[in-house]
Amino acid sequence: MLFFPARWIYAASAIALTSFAAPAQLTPEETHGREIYRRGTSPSGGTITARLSGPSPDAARSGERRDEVSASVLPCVSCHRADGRGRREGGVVPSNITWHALTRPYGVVHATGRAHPPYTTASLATAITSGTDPAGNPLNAVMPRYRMAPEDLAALIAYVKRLGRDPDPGLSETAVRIGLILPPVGAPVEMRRQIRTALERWFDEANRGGGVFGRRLEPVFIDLPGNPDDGARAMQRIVETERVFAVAASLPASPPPWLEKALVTLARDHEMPVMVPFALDASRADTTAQRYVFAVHAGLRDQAVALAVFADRRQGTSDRPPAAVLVPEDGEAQSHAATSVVERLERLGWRSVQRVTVPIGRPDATALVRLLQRQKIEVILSLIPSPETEVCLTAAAALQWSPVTLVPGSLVGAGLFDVPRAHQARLFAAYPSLPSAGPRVASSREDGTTKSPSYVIAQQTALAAVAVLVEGLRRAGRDVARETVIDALETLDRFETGVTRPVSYRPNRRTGTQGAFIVRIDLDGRTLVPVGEWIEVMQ
Amino acid sequence: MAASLPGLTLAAVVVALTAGAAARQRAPDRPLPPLPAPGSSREAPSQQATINGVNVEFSMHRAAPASTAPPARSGQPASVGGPSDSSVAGPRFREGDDVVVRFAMRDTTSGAPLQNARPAAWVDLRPVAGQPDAGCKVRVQDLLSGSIFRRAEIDLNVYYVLALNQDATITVVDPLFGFGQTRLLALVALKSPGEDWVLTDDRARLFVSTPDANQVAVVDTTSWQVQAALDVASRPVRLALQPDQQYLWVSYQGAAGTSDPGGVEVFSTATLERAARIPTGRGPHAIAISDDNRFAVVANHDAGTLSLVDIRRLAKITDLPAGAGASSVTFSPLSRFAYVTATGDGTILAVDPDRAAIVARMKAEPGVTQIRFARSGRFGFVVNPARDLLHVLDAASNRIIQTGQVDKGPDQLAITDGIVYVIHQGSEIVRMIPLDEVGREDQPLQIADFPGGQAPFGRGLRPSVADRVVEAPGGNAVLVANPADQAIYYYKEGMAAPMGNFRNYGREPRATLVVDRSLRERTPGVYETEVRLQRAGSYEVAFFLPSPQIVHCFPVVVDPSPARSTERRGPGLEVIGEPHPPAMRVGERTTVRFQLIDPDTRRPAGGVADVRAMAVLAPGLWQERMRAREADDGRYEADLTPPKPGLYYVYIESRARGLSFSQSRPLILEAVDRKQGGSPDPKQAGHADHTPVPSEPRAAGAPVWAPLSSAIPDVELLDQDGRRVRFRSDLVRNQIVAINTIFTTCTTICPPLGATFAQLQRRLEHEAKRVSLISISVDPVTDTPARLKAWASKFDARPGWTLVTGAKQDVDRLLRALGLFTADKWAHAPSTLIGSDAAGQWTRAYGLTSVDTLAGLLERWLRAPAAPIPK
Repeated sequence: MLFFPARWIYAASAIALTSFAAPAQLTPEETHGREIYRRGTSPSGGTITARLSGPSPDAARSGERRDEVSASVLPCVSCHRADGRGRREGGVVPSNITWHALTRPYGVVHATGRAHPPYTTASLATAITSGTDPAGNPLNAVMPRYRMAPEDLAALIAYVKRLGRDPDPGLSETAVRIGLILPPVGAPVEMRRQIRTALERWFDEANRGGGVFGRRLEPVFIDLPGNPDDGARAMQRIVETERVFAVAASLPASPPPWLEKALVTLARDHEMPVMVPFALDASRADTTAQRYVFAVHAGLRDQAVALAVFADRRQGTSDRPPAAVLVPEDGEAQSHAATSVVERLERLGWRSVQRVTVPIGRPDATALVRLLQRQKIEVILSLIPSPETEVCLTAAAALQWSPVTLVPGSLVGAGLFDVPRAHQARLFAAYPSLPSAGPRVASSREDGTTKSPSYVIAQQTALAAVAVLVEGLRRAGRDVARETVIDALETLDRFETGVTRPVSYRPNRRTGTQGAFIVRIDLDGRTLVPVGEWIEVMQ
Repeated sequence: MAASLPGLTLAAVVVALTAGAAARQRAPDRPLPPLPAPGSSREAPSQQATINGVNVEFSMHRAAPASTAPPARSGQPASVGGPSDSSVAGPRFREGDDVVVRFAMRDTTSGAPLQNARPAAWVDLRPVAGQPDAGCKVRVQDLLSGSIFRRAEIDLNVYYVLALNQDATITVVDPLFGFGQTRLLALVALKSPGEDWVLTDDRARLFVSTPDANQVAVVDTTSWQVQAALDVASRPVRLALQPDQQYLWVSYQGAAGTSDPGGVEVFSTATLERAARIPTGRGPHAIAISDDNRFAVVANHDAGTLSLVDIRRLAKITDLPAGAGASSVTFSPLSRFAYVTATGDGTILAVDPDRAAIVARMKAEPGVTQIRFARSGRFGFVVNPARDLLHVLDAASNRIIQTGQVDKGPDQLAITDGIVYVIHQGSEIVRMIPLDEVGREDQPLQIADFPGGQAPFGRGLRPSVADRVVEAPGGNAVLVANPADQAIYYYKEGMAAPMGNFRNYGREPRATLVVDRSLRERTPGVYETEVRLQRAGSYEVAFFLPSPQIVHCFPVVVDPSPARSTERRGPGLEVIGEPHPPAMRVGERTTVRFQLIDPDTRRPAGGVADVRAMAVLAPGLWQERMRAREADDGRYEADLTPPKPGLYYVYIESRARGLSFSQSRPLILEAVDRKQGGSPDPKQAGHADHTPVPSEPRAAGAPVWAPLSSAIPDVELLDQDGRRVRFRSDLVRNQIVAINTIFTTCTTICPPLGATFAQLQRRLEHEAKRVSLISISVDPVTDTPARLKAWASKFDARPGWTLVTGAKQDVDRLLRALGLFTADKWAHAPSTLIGSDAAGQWTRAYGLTSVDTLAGLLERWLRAPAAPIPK
């Protein structure tokens, strides 16, 4: 047995603490300045205004303030960026305003020939408020002249001195903490276990391979409870206790709405990159959150639209028959998806597309089927839960009716493989990737658990999500921040995750693979049989 | 180092010449005081033009004399009046003058200097008497579009190629005079052979280490004279310039019998004084400077150490063990680690300068030498000449992730945006690895190649520490110096072989360098370059700015120099080709047409009997001579049947009239395979789509206001609420209008543009119904209506301010018609177009000017009684 004197342990932990704690946390004043820098607003509630002077001598002489706008529309960060180094844009080269660069002992000579001695706290204040450098040269006209309370100005300058040395939460010199949200309680236990094991293995390997810019990738597993209130607390813990830098969530393809909303709120309020497996319906509406939420795959809506495109192609040159979209009575995401499907089919020339709302729980399947049959519906796109689809198909078979039925992969349950044989060759599903483990996996019932195809895809997608997020970290460089990861992710162009189709993002694209494979649900072989090519869904 | 020309895409050209023709106006009401300019004492009278809301002031003055230049030329006032062409106004110069060409640009409404613009300019002979004059715009269009077919007398957007020779000279060559027709501009004589060199960012000075002379020569790049010399302790070799240009770092060797093992000396570039001498260890040395100008690292080969130096204090922080034979060092801008290779140990170390600590040790085989990173900083490349290997390392994980076999003795790397070039001591083959194929761990490297000459690069020479392969401005091309061939090759990416080469005037080039001579912003809004006026004549300086579009030609006269006329052996005839020569097809006879001009009378030279042509397939693969026949007055033609695809240079001679093949500027034609429909060059293909060039703009009714040159198209777009709007009928018709261009992912100039519009809207609230503010997205692919709405809401946009997006081709068509199109959204200019649709009068203002100014421009129409609608 080994024995360490207590003070050694103390000393060892103190060392660990100091190396982890550097650079120090922001002081209250610096934190105050950070808000001014990033948002153009003062935590103390004071007014901060910006004047785009342009050379307007009249206004300057009269001291008029009518050209002033709230600094919140022109905060420092938009030109000088979070790291203070600026980015050239539209013929304007914002200066590097990190304290190191401002205070080089030999001064600064800009590319345009403007030269000045090093800045001091006082001359920086002059630059911010009056728009002149330490040599008295006017700054570029794009640089607003700001007006704020002296305390605000002092705080802003205190923060400018920290630019580039203000790491986002979850980031230390030696590690970056990644929150990994496991499927919520209620998901199959075995699936949760396997996803966790696969992720642990992935992180181990990445760390053995050198981590990212000398930092270890630290997985922080987060179990989500199954109800909204506990879920909200779990989200709070992610931020306050776990202090993770970014989050990758393993969610079912149609997560409960509260969970979607909780993730979107997390992303928006903390400007934190959040990777999700499937595009969230909730982030479509929230333009601020959109920036931070990246999906590996298309969500329900794009899967459904891919099925619509498939149905149209399958029709060839023949007339477009009447079609129906089955929507659950209280599904917001499904309702949005249905709207997109109807729009798409109408654009493709389908003249009769009905939207049929189905009560969930105990639908009168026979009545519903009779209704559809009377309307001469030949194509059904089902956005209702798998058991309801199964009941309807059974009822249809009893009536000797077998319309072409299309189901987004996320709504395919294992029971769909057990519907009557009458539907053989008439039943299709859309998946963002083809389970590479082979078609057998699709309906195997080994070890007592039910593995639906989305089970396999969930594992692949969880791995793809971390692969994408870590590639963002690699592209962002050692001086990484949440914002620069977002920028870096936007440069991914056909990035190979190894487990999915290549993913791409752009400033207005947050879905890595935007489309679906169409598969036929083979009732004889209990397998999925790919049909045709990948269908890309354009927005 | 990129020339300004690459930024000008063809699309921009089209605009410039259609919509851009919009508003050439007379001078503004109030005269503008001149912008302060460097060295304005020798200013010749300037000329001004005001176009598209920008005032361009052109002037030319003799360059500041080099210290060694004959005093007679210094500060001589420009001659006024002269024999050659008294009908042309403008400043006059003498042939042989070195002049500074200057354009000062500023916004007419605010007087603000136009900064960070990318102008292009040419000095071209004025049209010959008797030839139809297509006008300035057409000439500029020709100069821009068919740059290889149509060259100006002096192209101000060019680069010079320098060769650091085996002997104590540097050759300075103008390569665009045509392959085989290069011009030796200067031969810089050094005290001893040069070893390494570095050019300042402003291209004004070139530092060259001359170890045998124990000096670093400072070469002035206008006069090409050695201007000064920096004395260094002993045998200076390596040079490095800080990114902020403040200090020049020079390695020196320890002198025998002293305790100084050698290290670096640091010189101020402003004063050329030595700021420090820092012994670091026994060399040879390699130096790298961090991007943020905080750290210098020095690899000490024989000491096997890496010295870390704090630039603020100019003092060594520490020495780290780097391994036997520390030979090459560099920084990755992405990881901010320094990487050093150790030849003896075969290791590559990653060093964190912040912590002065080694953070990773990568194991390769002994023999590794040069290390370089691709621009993004993610992937590093290391050669091993002993084992003929190339390694790829990933800065994110600090591991070697790929290794490939290359040719014998790889010892130098050159990396462009798309390709890694590998040069070998033992081979003339240049290997190329496309960067987008790099980074797939453990996958084989995709390697292509081309012959970089006839002889292996290492034949008979010490390897040079300076680069033998450099990127040519304009991108997608490199220059390759092959010492034994005594030649420099020009290679364009994607080709199987170099497109051309030039001989290095009998000298062995150990390294090459490109000096961009295009217009550069010296002080805010003032753009300059230097040039030598080679020949007397009546010229015009053609000026082009892509955004806002400006095309203008300024006349200039260059008088013959009495001193030079005796020594002049100019060609007895000038050759002028067709502006758009026919595209030739392989195996088909093509008639090549050209005109001969008498240089003295500037008139067509008819009746010349002995005109012969010689066609050469670049780079000299095939040639044929043929007799030319006269078609009519001074126009001649010859038939050419190209045997292979490629560029053909056709030279003309007439012995009777004193024109030799070597003197004539070649006509350049391109031959393509018969099966190809047309030219493979997309630029040329696009050329056919040019909208017809409009004639000179209609006379403007008011000094600043003018009609748009083309009608505003009524394209259907989407507004910020996703509603379909017709641009002209719904937003512009019968309104007082202000239009700017924005995009939502732009964070620097667009928020100020948005804030300005918001203020403008509030200012004109009482007239809200008559005023239409429109922001057009220049990135319609990204900017959905929802994004535009979110963006506008930040500025509290109210009804009356419409933000539009739509199909890219519709938006582009609209922007072209409005003269607001830019091919590169990141270079988009903050122009605001203001006008009254009813009056059909428009003006352009700098969008970042004061709200007062913009409001004033709009109020002019609000006050005015309804003007008659133009027909």
